[in-house]
Amino acid sequence: MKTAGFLQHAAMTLLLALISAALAWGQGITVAADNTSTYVPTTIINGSFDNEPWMVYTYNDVTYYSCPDPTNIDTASSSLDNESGYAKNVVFNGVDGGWNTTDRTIWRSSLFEYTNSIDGLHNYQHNSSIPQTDKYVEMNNYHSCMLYQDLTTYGHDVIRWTLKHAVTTAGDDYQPIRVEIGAPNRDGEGHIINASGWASDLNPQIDLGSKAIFRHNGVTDKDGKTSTIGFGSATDLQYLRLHNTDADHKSGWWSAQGVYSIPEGQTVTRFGFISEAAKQNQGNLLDAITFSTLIGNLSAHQLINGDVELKGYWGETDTSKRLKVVLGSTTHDINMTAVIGKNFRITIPAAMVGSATSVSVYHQDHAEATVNAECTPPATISISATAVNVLGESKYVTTFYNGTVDYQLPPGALAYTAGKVDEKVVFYRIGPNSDVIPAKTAVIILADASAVSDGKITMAKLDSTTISPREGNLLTGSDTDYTAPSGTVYVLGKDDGGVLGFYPLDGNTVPAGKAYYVVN
Amino acid sequence: MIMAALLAAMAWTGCKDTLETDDPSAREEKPVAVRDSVILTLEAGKGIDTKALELVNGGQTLNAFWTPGEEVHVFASGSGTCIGTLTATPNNTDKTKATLKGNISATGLAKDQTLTLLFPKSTWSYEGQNGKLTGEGSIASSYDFARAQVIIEDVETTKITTTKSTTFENQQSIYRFGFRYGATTIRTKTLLLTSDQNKLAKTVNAITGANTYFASDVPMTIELSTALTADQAAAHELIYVAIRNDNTTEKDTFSFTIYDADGATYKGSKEIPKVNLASPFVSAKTIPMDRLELSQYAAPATPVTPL
Repeated sequence: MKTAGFLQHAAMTLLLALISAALAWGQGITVAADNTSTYVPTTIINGSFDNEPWMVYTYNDVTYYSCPDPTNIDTASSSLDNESGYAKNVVFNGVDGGWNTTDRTIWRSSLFEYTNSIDGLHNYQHNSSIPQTDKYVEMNNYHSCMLYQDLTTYGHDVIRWTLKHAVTTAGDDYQPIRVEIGAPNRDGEGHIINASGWASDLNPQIDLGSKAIFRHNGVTDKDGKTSTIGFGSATDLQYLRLHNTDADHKSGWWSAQGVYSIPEGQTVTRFGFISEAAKQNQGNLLDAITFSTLIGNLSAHQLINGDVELKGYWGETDTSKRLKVVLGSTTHDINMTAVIGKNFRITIPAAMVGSATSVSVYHQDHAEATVNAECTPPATISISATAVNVLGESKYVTTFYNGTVDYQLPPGALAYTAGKVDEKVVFYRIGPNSDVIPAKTAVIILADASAVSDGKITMAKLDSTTISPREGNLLTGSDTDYTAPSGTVYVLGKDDGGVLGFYPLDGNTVPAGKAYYVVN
Repeated sequence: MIMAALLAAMAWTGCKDTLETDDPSAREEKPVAVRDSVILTLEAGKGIDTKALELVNGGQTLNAFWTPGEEVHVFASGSGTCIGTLTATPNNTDKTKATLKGNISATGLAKDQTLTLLFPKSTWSYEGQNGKLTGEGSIASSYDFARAQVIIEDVETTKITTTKSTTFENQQSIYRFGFRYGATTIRTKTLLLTSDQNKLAKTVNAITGANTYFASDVPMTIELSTALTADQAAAHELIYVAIRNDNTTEKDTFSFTIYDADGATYKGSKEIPKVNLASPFVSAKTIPMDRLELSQYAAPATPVTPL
């Protein structure tokens, strides 16, 4: 009895949880993984600097790695200095180091130093609290250049970036570095330093002017304290300056994060750090760097039944975070727990869509990075058809209606409106070829077998049509399920003997997208 | 009822045909090159059977004759390009005869070369017919194709001599169709036509005779400018279609889809015997058709779920 009681209680708890979840998901909005999508989100490589060597350079035909022994990276640390040449990313034993630099010095390259806590190049006090594993990188300010990655991106995707930052010297001796994000405007290897020594070139490595969509939401330290460092408060910055004005940054790791909206058509985005001035070996320590898609590949389509299908990618890992979906004046909180790190498909019922023609979507913490999508119908739709015999010919038949979109039938399929002549439902062609279904036109479709695949007829959306149906169409339809208030609803069907005709509707509701007529 | 027509292939038995330059003085200079443009004059004697069309004998007989201004197009073998156009002047007393005259390009012409003559258009296609026998865009003006060939016998400075006789041959049959739904004449606006043998020519190469064909999914389409009426049917103003059927079997079946003035759809078929292009007039004025329609089954019919 005790066990039964426990099970009953558990079942009730589960039921309540499910009901609660359903309500939380917004009165019928469903969320599911979209396993058909081939979209791959953007992700930075080796943001922890754990993959060694993460950079390499050559001088006099000798290869220098960012760690002294690439085969045993935990044993020591190294710096890329005291030699000429230029450093770049390396793939070592199939592992991509990820990072590149614009640095090309003629006699000295000591921009980067690599440290682990076991046997570090330097014994900074930060070694006791390295944010991610036991490795980080020190970016020195001998001259102005950039540490970066060029990443494949997709227009309108929302990227969230995070980083951990510390300095070796605070106060006046400290040299700021900047975080820059945008389309590359350099080839990545052309940052020339003049022959006389240190030369700064703060020309941005990205196209700042047209890509100044740089947002951050402030910083906190690892303990959750608000930083006082001068990160700037604007939400649209050309770059973010990691500028230390107090000693705290010397004593600990600080966090910064933000979101970045990929501009339309920007297929490659450069993300990285550029040193502002030459103060020799005053270092900026970097670790735990992320740059990954938060919301990606977003699109919205309106289905035949009026539902809106929202597709995209959800990169948030925090289960408490919600996707905000705005339709008209209503904002829905969508629980995305089931699709973390996945391509998703959200279906919003037609009743909730109402007259909205577009949908706005954003992460609950990043309303400033809202993605808007038109509720556009899909390029093609497929509708089921039934094999019948019409005037001695084998055909497939179905009915169709859409209130907003014109459709082109495939070869071998024809659409007809109808009229009543002597108690017969007579078929009338539409336009010269009867192969176009104008919006707001309920039709009967007859198709040859060649126009049917897996029992379905696939039609293509037309941007517009000049075809008009004959006036007085007997048939009508609806974009939502229809229940006639009175009269007898006739629909296309087959009786028990397989005789095709128009029969009284079984039940009260005509499905959305089907043709019917009412006799009062 | 199928009626016979008079479009017999005719032998061309005129006198020696000459290709002359239009500059008499050039004849005195030998040897000189033939000029690019020469006048070709054909004494289209007895039997040249490219023609306009006329229904006589109460609509049962289709006659053919020349009308002033009709054109014959000239092609040189090999090129496939029309090198000139000849204009017909009918004989005053016998309209089945005419003189054809016009400028052609003589560039590259040589002895033993074949000239192909095509009436009435330079592009041999059966697409775009409007169901009319005569008038603008009709069979007579655009689809009553006939072809002849002559051989160049001699090329001189001042003239080109061709074979003395040849034959103009009709290249298609002319069909007259009428359709009924029950006892009612269908007010046809559009006719779609296919054949079981799928040998209805769409285009023909004037030089090689190679054909393309209408297909079952892209049927021959006759679009009338205005739908037929019952009165027109009584006056034999039905639908006329020029059809070159390359079917070689004894019989073929034509399948018809008709849209009437309202757009109502009718379907039917008719068995068609093999037609000799030499007597190519076929009439079928009362082809029965089925209308595309469904019945409404009121109660007590069993309710259904919609297809």
